[in-house]
Amino acid sequence: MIAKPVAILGLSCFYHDSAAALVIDGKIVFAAQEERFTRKKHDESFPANAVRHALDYAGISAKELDAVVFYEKPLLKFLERILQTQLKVWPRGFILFHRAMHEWMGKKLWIPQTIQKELKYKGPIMFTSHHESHAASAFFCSGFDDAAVVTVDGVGEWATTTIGYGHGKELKMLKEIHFPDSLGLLYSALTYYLGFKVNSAEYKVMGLAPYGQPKYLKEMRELIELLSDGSFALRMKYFNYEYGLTMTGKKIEQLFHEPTRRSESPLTQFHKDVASSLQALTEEVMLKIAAHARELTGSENLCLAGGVALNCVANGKILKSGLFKDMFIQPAAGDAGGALGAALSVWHRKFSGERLSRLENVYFGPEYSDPQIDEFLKAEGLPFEKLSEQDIIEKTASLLVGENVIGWFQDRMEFGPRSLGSRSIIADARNAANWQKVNLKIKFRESFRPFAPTVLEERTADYFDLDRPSPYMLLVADVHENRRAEIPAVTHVDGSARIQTINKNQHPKYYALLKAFERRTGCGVIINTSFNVRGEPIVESPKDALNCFLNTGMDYLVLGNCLLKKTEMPVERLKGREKYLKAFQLD
Amino acid sequence: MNILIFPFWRRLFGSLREGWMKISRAIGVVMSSILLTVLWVTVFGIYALILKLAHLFGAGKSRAQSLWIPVNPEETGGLSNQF
Repeated sequence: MIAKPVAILGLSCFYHDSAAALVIDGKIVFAAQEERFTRKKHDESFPANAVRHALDYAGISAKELDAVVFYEKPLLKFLERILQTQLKVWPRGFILFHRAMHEWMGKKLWIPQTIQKELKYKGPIMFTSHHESHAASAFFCSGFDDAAVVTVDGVGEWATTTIGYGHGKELKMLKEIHFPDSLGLLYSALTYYLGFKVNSAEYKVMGLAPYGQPKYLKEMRELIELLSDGSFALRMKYFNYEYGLTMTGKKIEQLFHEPTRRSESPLTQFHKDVASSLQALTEEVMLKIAAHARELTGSENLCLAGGVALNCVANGKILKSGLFKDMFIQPAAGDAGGALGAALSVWHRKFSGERLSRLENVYFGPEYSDPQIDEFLKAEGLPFEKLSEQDIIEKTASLLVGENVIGWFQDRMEFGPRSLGSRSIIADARNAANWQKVNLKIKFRESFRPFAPTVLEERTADYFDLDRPSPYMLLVADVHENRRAEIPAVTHVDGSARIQTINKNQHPKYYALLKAFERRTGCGVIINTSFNVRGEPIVESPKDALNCFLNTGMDYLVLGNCLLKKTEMPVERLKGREKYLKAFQLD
Repeated sequence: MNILIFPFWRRLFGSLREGWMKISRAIGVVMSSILLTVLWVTVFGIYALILKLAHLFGAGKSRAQSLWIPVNPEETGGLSNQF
């Protein structure tokens, strides 16, 4: 008798970056963030759309699920951390107390009931701890037989940083650091001080850092007591987040002798230097934590997850340090990846399932077939050219040469914050003008922000100081000095780049596109940036892609095997830019 | 005749119900704020003062050689628990 496949649905929601991940017999069948469907960035609501797409994709109903698992333990979080923190900071925190009580009493304490109601599901509902979810999302996707597992984020229930050890099907958490001592919250607090949006724009601070010098490292060290084993405590007098609605207050302004930057006001050299100092401190802390993890576990392999693992500059430094022979960073390192980790954790802990091999790619979202795209475009009444797969690749490659900026929409959507060739805006990295064009006319974002390259895996060492694949844009490495003039549009101001390598097996069509581009130009690198404008989630559907194309300065849109040209679009369809951009809150 | 007036009553009662739900919600917001404030001042206040007096919120942790907290596997809780 053939055993019924074991289907586990992992969920994350109600903080930021809701997601659903469906794992069947240990294989990742579907995973997507809710924001892609609701078009609300970092949407924290229950991931009803992501769940519906997951079940539809797998062709099953909720009744056929063997388990639904939530990515953290709400009662532990509420009864211990939230309430204890309120007691600790009393009499401060009055408004935060009210807000927290409304949120928790109204929504967050009723997870099982919400799941049962939304999914019409009566089976087992399980809960992993927050950092266990992160750790599982990294270790169980790494392919390593054993590894040190480090997770660093804002906060889960109590833990903000953990070290664990994974071996075979087992994952054991060894040590942790508790709230309010949090590297993630430190980074967020300085993000707030620099006038950027918390839980959204930390990566912008990382991108700003190379424009400055770490002149304020002494002040940064005043914020944190860092011990030689990587453990740390924050000096909470500088931070408000335990009791206030802001992250920092007057004391940090006195420390730096500058007020908190107002959002969208001009960035000065001071801000760049603060960003640089923060980045330097973060790298130092991460290196010490990694070193301690090595010492504690003795493993040659490192797995990383948690929001701070998206700091790819720090990841690059850990790699370069030689502490570990190999590293795996979960591409969806933030809370969305927690949904995946929760499902994998249950697969191994409850069902004693077999391990996956190393994650090959993260194309786990929905896809749209050629007939669906055809039908959509015909309904829109827009002129387009339908080509064969080979011809669309060759045509796109020829259009890429020079100044054209192309929206590229193919196959299954990526899971995680990065666009990796399924929902990407692409352009010629050799053209320096593309940096400004894409930033200002297409993405409408800050001009200092760099672009990331996609490079053919076999050409990586030709261009970058990187000796291994980087398929998920989670490692930063230097562009070789003699190549910087060749690919200026993806070379950051300090000569570095956040690299995506691509091989034939990961995404055959995207790989073929780069090969075609290389045949024409000799260059194996293109710009790859996410298919969205500032404040918008990455596009999910042909409709989202078309809206973005029509309302920005993109020149071409490739939807599957269909090509649309901006100059052929009816003028009345190009007048909605202001309305379109207003729909998205700036991040 | 009854068939003719039934939709009218349904509309009327429907509007009344909607209005009542809006008022109830507003009353609920006000009442919950009052209750939470009372809870915050009395229960939380007293407990917080006792804990502060008893110095239970860890001064001196920086004198430790390490700030890592060992994880006790028995405290991590099973998969069925929310805690």
